[in-house]
Amino acid sequence: MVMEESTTQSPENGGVLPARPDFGAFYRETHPRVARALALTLGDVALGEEAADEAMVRCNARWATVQGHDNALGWVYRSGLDWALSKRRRTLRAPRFRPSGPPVPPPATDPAIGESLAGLSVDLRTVIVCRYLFDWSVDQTADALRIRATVVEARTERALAQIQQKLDDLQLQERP
Amino acid sequence: MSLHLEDRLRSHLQEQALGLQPDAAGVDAAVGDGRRMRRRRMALNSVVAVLLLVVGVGGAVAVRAALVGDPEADLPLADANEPGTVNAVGGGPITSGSALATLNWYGVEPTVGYSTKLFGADDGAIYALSTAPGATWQNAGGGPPPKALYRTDDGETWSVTLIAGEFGLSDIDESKGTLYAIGTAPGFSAVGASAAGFTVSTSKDGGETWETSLLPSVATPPDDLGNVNWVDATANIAAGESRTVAATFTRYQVDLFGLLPAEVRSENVDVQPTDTGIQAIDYSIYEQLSMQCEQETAALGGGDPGELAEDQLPDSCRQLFSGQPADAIVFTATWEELGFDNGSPLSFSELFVASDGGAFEPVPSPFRADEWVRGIYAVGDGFMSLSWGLNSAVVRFSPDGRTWNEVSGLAGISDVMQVGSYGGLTVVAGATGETGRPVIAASVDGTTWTTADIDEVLDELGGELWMSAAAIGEQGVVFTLQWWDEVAQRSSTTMVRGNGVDQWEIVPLQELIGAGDAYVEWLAVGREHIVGRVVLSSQFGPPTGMQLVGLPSE
Repeated sequence: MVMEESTTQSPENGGVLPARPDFGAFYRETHPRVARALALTLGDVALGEEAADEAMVRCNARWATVQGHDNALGWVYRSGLDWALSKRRRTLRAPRFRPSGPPVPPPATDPAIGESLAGLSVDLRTVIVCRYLFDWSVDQTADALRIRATVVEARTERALAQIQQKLDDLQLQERP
Repeated sequence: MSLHLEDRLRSHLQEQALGLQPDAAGVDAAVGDGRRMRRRRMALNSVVAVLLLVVGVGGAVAVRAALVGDPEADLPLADANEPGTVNAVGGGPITSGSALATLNWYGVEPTVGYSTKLFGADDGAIYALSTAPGATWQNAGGGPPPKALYRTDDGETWSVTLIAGEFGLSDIDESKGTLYAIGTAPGFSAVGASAAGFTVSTSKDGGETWETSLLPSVATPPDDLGNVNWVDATANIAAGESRTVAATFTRYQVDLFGLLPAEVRSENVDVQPTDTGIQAIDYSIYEQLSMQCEQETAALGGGDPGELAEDQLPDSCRQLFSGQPADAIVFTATWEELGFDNGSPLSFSELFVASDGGAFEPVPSPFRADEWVRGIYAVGDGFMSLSWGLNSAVVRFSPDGRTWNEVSGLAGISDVMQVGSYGGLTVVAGATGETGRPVIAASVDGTTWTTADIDEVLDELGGELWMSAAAIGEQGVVFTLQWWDEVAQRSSTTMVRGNGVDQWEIVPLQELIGAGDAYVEWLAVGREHIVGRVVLSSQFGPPTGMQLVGLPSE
């Protein structure tokens, strides 16, 4: 990630060390990425945007800690995901209650893949987004989601198997 | 499934992401709301400071952790299982295992990429099921890429046999020179079908030609149940010394709402299948609980109930988070009450056993229809199955493929990665649920399990380790361990090989692959060799692959 950096004096050694980016730079760099990823994970553009906003508020409240994370983007993504799932558990279990109408899914550029992804649980879609949108390794994904690498691998395996099965089925459906 | 599927996924997600232009509340809003959130936390901490004076340091620390629910706080770690722990179901511990042959390791150019199935054959070869050479989603004519069976006898060179015909291939195994493949019957369509069909195909020439027979599945929904919208059909197979076991899973998605009485139907009500029938859920209850939960959480000091510790959750929140409050169920009926004789007509789990090359006959299935079965394996003295239940792995053992028992007290292993046989023992590789600590357990009879002593290996590597790949076969038990290297600021991987009981060695993986970020994608054990695929991350380009080979010293 390319972010604006400044320099600061280190009282410990008197030298000039690269400083972490300020929150504004981090926000501008990270918010769109997190909002897009959450929209794809949750299958709901509006909820993804709202979750990214909430995650950024939490990030700012804990900026002193979060800016030290190796994967601050991962921290914000997970924070937004936790918030969205919590909110969905509380009020969005039945989407029909949303005054704004049904969730607006992201546009599908590869309809077969889009339909296959839509059929996954959020847990499985989360690892798929981390692995293939963020291009994180198994370890980075595990670290960001605070789950074990073996769980990441198992979920990835399950997700790919389900996607493949759905693609196979869709292909069969298309045959005359 | 293949790397091409991964490419297709990556491309789709990135195109979708670029097509989204999300609205943002803005950095000022985040900073302002963040400042208010910090003030709330400081106020809460002040309350805790008062409590600290009243109840003493120890109690107050616990109170603070519970009140604040800090997601940054480390969870307490449970003690790992003591080595040598034996299941309480009779029998004694295994005190020593078979001797291991010494292997020489080297790396070669990779041939086989991602594989849906890897298995060792009775003649010593290793098979891998993957996409055909050169096949991609782009050149597959719109369908799934053709599959191929790769075979290696020396661990280095692979022969390739295309899987011909209309296989809806789900799983494949081998015994005594015969390959067994299971899948959906030709012509099966998941959409709108009234019944699934499964076939088992056998090949005695390494996959060149196949003989196919239909399994006697009765997984057909009753007439008049409603429109079938979708059928999910999957299958697994394991070929043992004298028996072959085939498991099939068929799930029908039908219009259940049409079965509800008129007075129950409303826009707030949804209907779900249960083990015995259907139940209708009124989701307006969730709204009421949601409001109650927010009010009660506010009384505790505010914040997000999702961040509260479990024991601090108000009852309304706990009910809400349970996913299914009792009051929300407004209608239940058994299939019999609805007029259907068949007890569970929507999800079928079936099991079939063939003895001595004979026809498959149905036997009672041990699997719940909602389990996801990862695999069935022929082990030394029977069969084992690995499946995912709602929250953890379920392991079962059967001496004959017909009668199955859930393996309990499996040395604390709840996250099973691999099962197999070595040196007359059935061996399980996995991790404990509480700590994720890697564990190897071995058993003579599949009932009584002994935990292998790998603490010395784990302690030598240090830190928090997790198992990322494992394989078990005639050259022993081999698995990879990963950990976070604080100095290098990247994950590190090492490989361990042992006899499942008391002999372990660290394979010099780093010497083979050099410095850098790498992980082992898969491992397979044959009679005289071990192979593995290593993926090496690159800072400047796509990851590259390498195949590891371990061969006995001359």
